[in-house]
Amino acid sequence: MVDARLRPALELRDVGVSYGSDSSVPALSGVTTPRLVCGEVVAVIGPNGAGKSTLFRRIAGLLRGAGEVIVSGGSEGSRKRPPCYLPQDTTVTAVLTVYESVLLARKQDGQGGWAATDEDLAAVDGALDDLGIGDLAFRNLAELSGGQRQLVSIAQTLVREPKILLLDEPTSALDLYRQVEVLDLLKHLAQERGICILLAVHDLNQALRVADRVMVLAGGRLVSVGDPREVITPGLLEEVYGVRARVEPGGAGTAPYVVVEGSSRHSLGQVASGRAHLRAAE
Amino acid sequence: MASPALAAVRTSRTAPSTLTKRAAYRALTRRKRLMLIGLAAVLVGSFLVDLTTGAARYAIVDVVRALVAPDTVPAALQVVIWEIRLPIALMAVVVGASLAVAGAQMQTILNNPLASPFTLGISAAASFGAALALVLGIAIVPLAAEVMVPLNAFIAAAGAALLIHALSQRRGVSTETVVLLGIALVFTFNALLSLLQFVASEQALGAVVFWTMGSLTKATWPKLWIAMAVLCICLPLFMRRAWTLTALRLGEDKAASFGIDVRRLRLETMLLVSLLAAVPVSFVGTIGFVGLVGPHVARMLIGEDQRFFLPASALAGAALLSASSVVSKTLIPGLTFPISIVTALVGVPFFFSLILSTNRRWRSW
Repeated sequence: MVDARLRPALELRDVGVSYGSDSSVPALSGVTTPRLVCGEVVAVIGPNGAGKSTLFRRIAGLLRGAGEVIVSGGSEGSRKRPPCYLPQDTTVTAVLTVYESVLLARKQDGQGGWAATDEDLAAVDGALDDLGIGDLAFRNLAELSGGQRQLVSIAQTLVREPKILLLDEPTSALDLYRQVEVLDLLKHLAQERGICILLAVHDLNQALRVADRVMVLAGGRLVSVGDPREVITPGLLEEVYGVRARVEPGGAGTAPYVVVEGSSRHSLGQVASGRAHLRAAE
Repeated sequence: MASPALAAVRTSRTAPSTLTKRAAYRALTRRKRLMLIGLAAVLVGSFLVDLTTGAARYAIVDVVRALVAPDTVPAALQVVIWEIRLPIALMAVVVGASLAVAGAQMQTILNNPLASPFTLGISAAASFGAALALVLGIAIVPLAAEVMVPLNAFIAAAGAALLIHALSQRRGVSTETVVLLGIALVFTFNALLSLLQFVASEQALGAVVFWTMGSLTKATWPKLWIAMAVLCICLPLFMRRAWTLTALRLGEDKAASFGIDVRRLRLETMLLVSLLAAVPVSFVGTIGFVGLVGPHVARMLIGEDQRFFLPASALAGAALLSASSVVSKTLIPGLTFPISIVTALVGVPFFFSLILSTNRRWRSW
């Protein structure tokens, strides 16, 4: 019997996206990945504007474009359970409690009809408990801090029992303690439930700590993909981010970590031109 | 099961237990149901009082008897209740509910608390359409003369609603821009209406002014059946989509990430809203504030889970217009004020009190 966690979950073939009428400057182009499997956490890293959010929106089916997104072995049109996408912006003005908003996410698949079933409520309870936000259950969404809203948004994706989870900077508003806690939880859930999680993050040390695989985007192209320890190197950091850095190997039971030593270019303009050069080279 | 580190962290928290959360949610939904029953009771009370008031005052007992056993009451009372007051009182209920549901859905799909048929120019467009018929005798669609005024009003209102929708679908257009366009439509149609009033004959001018102020006294049984049919078609269609419409309030991106076809949902909702807003306006004239205040009252009482929010909006709007109908007849005995004046006089202070209220739960827009 094949281990459920090794089942293929997602594969991208020459995926691209162009905004507006100008297709000569695509936001994303030629992204081809190896087959990503259930149970793995894939960190998607890259500088601002690299195309991380565009890639996620393309995979989630919110954007059309070139190439093929293959989900769970089926073609794009025939997939039964689409990837769950958590957008970056979690601002919300709805007059709903946290509990209602998570239940709402659960009911979008049209199962259980109009009323909330015991199964629905159990799923909501589980998602809130997993994220440790049960004490917020009956607070109004608009009263929450940015970090609390991010946790609620993650609960809204988990309650849908996804097989593929696309989280766009899910910890950007969280304090360090919460970042570690949430990323550890996601790693645990990926392994326990066989979820393939793609995680856009800016913190490279978090990527090195939790990711099984890392994808590096720059200028709308996939620069590198593979084991984080092999991909995140001083050379890549200088090339993609324009920073001088070294990667310390870490110790027993601790992940490698990046130590930034300084900018290798003198201005943001030079960083931008470096990225343009990178794109042209591809 | 969580990782040991997480489990250790969680045990230190004081989160409600799973059973407590579930029980609390069930209690919350029970409270919402009770709130709906309370609103319905207010509406029934207001409706009955509406039937008792008018040129002749009747006791509620007599009115109830005339409703449930018409043969047991004097013929005069039977005629007054069934032929005169009942269509008007029911029209107040149906129009109030329709405008409030239309306002609630406009606020939902445009993600803006100021959206309503009145504030986005749909009512103004209807007034202009009606005035075209009243002043110049122009029918947008040539049909029988007796339906020319309401038909003109409906077509103009639906056109304005579709224009707003078309703009809202353009790339990069924010909800604020849509509201600004609505305000521009209000000014445009009001200016055109003023122009028509300027050139109108004295008789036509009186008719236009009376129409733009709104009047339930134009209600008849056939008009009532049509307005009721529109409400009975639209409301269940909205209720069927309660979960998806609520999801829209979490943001367009998130709703789309749930697999909702946001553009299609918005278009279908806007079409239903234009029908819901235009038909009552075409029968009873322009009635402001109900479509704006009704949903806010419902939101304050019940939140935005549309399974409860929609019926609450309908009940709140119906009760508000029914109460306004009572006030319009009792403010000065023997004189019935145009209903729109009363809804503004009642609605605006009420709306101010809502905005300034200390209850912040619903004021998150």
